[in-house]
Amino acid sequence: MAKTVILGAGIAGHTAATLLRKKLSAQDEIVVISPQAEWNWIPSNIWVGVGAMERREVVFPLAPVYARQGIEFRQGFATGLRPEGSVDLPQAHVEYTAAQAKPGEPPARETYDYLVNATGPKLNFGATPGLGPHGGHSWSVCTADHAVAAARAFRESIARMKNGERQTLVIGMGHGMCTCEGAAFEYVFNVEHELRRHGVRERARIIYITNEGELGDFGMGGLYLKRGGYVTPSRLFAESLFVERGIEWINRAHVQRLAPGQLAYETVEGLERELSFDFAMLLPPFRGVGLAASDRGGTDLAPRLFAPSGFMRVDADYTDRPFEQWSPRDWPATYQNPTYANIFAAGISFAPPHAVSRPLRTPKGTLVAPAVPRTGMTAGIMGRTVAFSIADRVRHGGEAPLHRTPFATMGAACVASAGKGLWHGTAATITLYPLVPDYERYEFGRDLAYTTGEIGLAGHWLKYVLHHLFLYKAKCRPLWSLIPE
Amino acid sequence: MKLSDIGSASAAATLPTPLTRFWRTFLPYQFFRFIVINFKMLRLILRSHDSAPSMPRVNAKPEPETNSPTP
Repeated sequence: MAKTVILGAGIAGHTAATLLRKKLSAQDEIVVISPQAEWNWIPSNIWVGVGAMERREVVFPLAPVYARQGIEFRQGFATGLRPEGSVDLPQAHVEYTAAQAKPGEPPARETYDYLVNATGPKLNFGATPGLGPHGGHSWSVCTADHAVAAARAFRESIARMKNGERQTLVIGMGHGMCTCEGAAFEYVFNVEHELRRHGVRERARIIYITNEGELGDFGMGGLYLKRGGYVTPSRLFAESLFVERGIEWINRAHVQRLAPGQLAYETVEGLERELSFDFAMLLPPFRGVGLAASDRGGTDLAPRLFAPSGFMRVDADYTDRPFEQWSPRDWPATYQNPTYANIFAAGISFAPPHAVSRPLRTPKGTLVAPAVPRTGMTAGIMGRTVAFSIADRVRHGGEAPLHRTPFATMGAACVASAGKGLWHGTAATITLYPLVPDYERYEFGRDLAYTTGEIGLAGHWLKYVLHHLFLYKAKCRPLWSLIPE
Repeated sequence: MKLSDIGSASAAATLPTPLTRFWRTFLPYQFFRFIVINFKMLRLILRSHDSAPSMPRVNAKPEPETNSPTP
């Protein structure tokens, strides 16, 4: 009998919890600790953020699902790890602040035999002064509630345009170190689609601001596609979409600060400009949630467990090397912490060894470097890999070999839709393999048979199908485990 | 920055012809593409879900060292 504690109930944590429950016996305990009472299909927050979908369509309460599955659920915010126990509790344990805790109450504790860190990121709005919906001057679609607030502001902007006003909408990345460019890319095209649907497109100036070196980089170093008998970079694919829809763009940019209706940015080329806006949706950079860690004597273990970014160290090669020496071999495969064999990290919570895109700097030295996306499909696969490894070790002993799914050789799929509904709108569908380009194996870094991109209504249908499919799977409805991550 | 300021970037962008735009929303063709995209996704998923403890790892690294007994 073993007890596994999973921190976080996002895509990685929820996948790990439900698969572990399926693999292990009823005597083995599985406990999920998450600050959120609801599961959120984050990719559909884009539709919520333009008012095309209701909040209730992208979330569902976790407690009934976990109760049905035999998974214990503690709503709370993990604050610390004690992997060697403490003086008064010798077993390895996690400290967390329960959602119903009274002020001043000591943290609750949960012992574990195995721990999965799948907390996801801290949305680091504080990295850019004035960024974000919590006292800042921009909106976000990172959570369902953020998306609802963004939709409200967007509707107000549309109403002003219907009254004859002109509006400037700025969408993109709120810092030079952001990730998840694909989300902002999808949001900007949904905004453009909604403006046309409301008949006010000609009154809107839409500007996309990004830390990507080129449009179509997506934090994955861009990609090459076979199109029309040529192998072309994704930059052409993306720029074509922007020009066709009349969306302006500013790339290689770091947003320095925001004030009401205005933002300041600098670029790698040395430009320092200000930009006025009426509506801004800017994604924040991510960092680790700031878990403390100490050994039994109270010595700080955080530097051994976590990278400076706050994300957890796993079986990656963290040697500091120049871009030219980066390799797919640097990326992890088991997601096991190198210090504690019973701790794993999955999803955004694992510390990447470096970026994939070439990092750039402004003349002032500001780093402009999109981080590699570790969400969606990749997060689910990591959750699955970790769950299978833990299940094997529980059933066959601590020496059972770990499952391996190298991050570098995962594939990725991105469906960026514009519009919602079966007959209106289109989507850009991109598949790529491998996630981390390997120029030793592939002439263009990736397998061109698996790396494709196209635009059309079909991708739009696929996005809609995926929305319902993954919500069905997450709710653990009949045959849910047959749906792949 | 306006489109005109982007200059060479927008001038270099490829734009779809009316026929290309027509195919993007022509239902019979899009039904066919839907099947094709699903096949591509499935192929990609199968290639990505190659987790297996006995699978030889490409570019294998040594097992991480641990200093804590595995429970």
